[in-house]
Amino acid sequence: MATQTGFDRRRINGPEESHPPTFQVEEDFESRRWKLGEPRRTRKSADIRPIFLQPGLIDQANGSAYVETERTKIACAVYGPRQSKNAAYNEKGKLNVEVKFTPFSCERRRAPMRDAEDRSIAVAIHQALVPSVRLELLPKSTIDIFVTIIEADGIEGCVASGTVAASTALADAGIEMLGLVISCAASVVGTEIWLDPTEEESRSSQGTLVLSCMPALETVTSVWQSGQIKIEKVLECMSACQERCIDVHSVVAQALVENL
Amino acid sequence: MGSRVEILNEGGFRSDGRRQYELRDMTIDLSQQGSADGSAVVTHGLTQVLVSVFGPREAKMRSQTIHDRANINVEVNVAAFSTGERRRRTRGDKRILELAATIKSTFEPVVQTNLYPRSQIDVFVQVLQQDGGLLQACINGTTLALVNAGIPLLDFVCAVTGGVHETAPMLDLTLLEENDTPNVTVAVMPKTGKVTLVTMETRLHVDRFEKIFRLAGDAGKVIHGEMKSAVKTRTSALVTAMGSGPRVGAGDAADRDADERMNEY
Amino acid sequence: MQSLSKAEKSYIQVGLLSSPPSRSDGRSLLDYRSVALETGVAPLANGSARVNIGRNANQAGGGTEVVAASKLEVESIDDDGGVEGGRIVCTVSCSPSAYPHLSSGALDDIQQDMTTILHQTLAHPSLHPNNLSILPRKKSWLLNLDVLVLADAGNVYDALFIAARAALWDTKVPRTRSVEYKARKTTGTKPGGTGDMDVDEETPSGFDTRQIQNATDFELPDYWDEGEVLDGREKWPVCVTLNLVPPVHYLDATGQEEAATPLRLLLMFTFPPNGPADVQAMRMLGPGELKITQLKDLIVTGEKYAHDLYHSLNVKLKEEDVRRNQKARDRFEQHR
Repeated sequence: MATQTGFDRRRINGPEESHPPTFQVEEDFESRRWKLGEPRRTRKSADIRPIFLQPGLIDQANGSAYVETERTKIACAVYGPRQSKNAAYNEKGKLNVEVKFTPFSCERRRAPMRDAEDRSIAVAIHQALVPSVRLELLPKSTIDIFVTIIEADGIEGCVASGTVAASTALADAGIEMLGLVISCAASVVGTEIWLDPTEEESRSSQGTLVLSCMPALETVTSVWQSGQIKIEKVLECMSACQERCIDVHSVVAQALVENL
Repeated sequence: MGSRVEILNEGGFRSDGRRQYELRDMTIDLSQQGSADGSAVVTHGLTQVLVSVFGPREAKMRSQTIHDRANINVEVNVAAFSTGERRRRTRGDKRILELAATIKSTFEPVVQTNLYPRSQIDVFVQVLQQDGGLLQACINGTTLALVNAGIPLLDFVCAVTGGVHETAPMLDLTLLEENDTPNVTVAVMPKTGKVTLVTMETRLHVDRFEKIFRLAGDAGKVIHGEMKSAVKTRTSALVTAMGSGPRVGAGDAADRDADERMNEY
Repeated sequence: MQSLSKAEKSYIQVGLLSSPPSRSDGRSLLDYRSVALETGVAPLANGSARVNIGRNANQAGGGTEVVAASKLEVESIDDDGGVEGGRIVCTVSCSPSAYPHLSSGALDDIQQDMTTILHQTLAHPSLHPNNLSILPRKKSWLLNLDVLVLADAGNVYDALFIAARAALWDTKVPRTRSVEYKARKTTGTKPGGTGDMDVDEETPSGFDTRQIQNATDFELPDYWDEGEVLDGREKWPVCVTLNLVPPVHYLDATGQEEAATPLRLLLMFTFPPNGPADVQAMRMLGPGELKITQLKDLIVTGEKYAHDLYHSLNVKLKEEDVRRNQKARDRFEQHR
């Protein structure tokens, strides 16, 4: 039985199969009636959701951060740099990123062990961070970043907010970096570009893009795009994201200064 | 199509038009594949396997080294599209592990592992297409890949599948025949006539066994001929290519001469 | 992928940056190695292709080798996880012989990363073919695209996407016809059909399209017919990997060059028959960084390379179609 393989007897396991209760929320109803070409309902197309960022929330970790943008809630802990176990000599440090979902983070239950881990998001966050961390100063060592997604609202939001949280946590841990990595998502809906899309919005878009950059150095560390977007629109999205990243950068910097 | 396919019709023909003792087309490609030290693509009819050999080299895990001989590590991968019904088999699949263990134990007495203490020989078998005789193709491919990698063997190992339909023995079964008849795979070392593997998962009458066992042994010799000629062709091509390569102290004229000869291959 | 010493890395980088640039195999920066493509390599699949980039000309070996095959499965909507309109699942598996120095754990990770990129790109709703549906609300096709990396001598992503495109181009979807089971007289349809049937209809006409609504199963009208091509086969994307050693970029890196390159940009483009190209996916790989203006320029130039690749690939795919039809016809002639 497939279900038995990932079965953990030490946990209080939920029922084998579960379905989330469906609420007839008025807001939901309204957005379902949204038609292509109509303007965005909740905010302006270039606006992002308000960000709440709290560094240093987890005491045991060397550095940590909690980020909340409306329904996306992510906690991130950084351990290290510490000695690499069992690995052969490596003159550059190693950056590990692990992303886990809580069972209640998505519409469908994410069973622990079985589908709690998401490597694709971890890879995206790793790519965004790795150019910023000065791993050449940390031979033979490992930095572990654990990202826990408490509530998810679209994969783009998870990648973007996860990156911001991880970079903040790295700064909180006092690990040398070239700059803070800030990430922003955009989606193309009709002819418009909507920044920081929710899950619903990215589902109704033709394509989405997540740009990660270091605003202090004006360099891009990662771009992650899927869907069908014309080239000019891609370039437009990137400019829009970069502009917004500069704003977010000041928010992150502020949060770090306040935490000192 | 009828619901039952005739394994052997009255005229003595099998479902694919072969006679009882006729083997399927066997093709051997010994050209280099990727970065392997030795490789072979072997097809028996529609069954196709690619075997790559790496080593002898240092073991990836130190715990795997044996102090007085080389360790043979066999890994088998089956392409998801190789069978009629798509089935993705992971590395941990019991069936695949068994196949790998069979190949390993077949070659352990044949490869001169004592020449390479504390090292490892990796054999990676990639199954590309399956139509019966999978083990036979894997073993023949492994032999050729090992030979191609220049690893000393005591002898070739040539395998063939035999089956019995009613009382008539048949050789080199297709998937269709394999499913319907008791079958046995035999691997022989043709020079000495020794047998390194006999495996059977079905039931076969004792009286029939000897006949099919001897037949498979003979068929192994035929396959040996095929394999030997393929190895010879490959080696002579390599020798010629090497002879025409740049030699120490060779002059311009010799180089030009060599280039011309190279172009022939 | 391979590990190189600092000296080797700098040797390769200096070669790429010098003018004129020099690469170990004598190519210019934008040259591809020779690409070999063959379709119809897996007889048991609905579509398949084998791609080799950089095979040695004289001894037929080496290079990056990728085999892709698509297989169709029937799925029930609801209980099997089937989706209305069918779905596509892409899986990449790497032969250990392609990465002989990696442990099995690392191999799994690589495999999964490739799977993620391929699946996220090809299974995106904007590329979904229209003819993967069998019975509305009941049955649909599940297209499994399995890609096998047999050898990696660099530029594996381009090879993956070429192979995937060729295999999907080659894919034939069996034609199906809806079948309805009806009990004699007026006892109603079998469970599964809706109850609102016309009781007074004695002899149902074959042209009555209303019946399709209650169809419970399907049949293949012609067993030997391979079926129709997958809808929208022109739009499957191609990938170009731009290898960046600032300020230059180059195409089709070998394994060693890849190890010496700090940053790679993967660009996947589709080319609609009329109108400009669409970016279908984009990824950056590696620890390097870029200015945004550079990135924008690269996307624009990358489109040109992808366009060339797309066109030569299309020419080759059409040739393959002709070759295989011709071959089949010739064989038929022989046997007659």
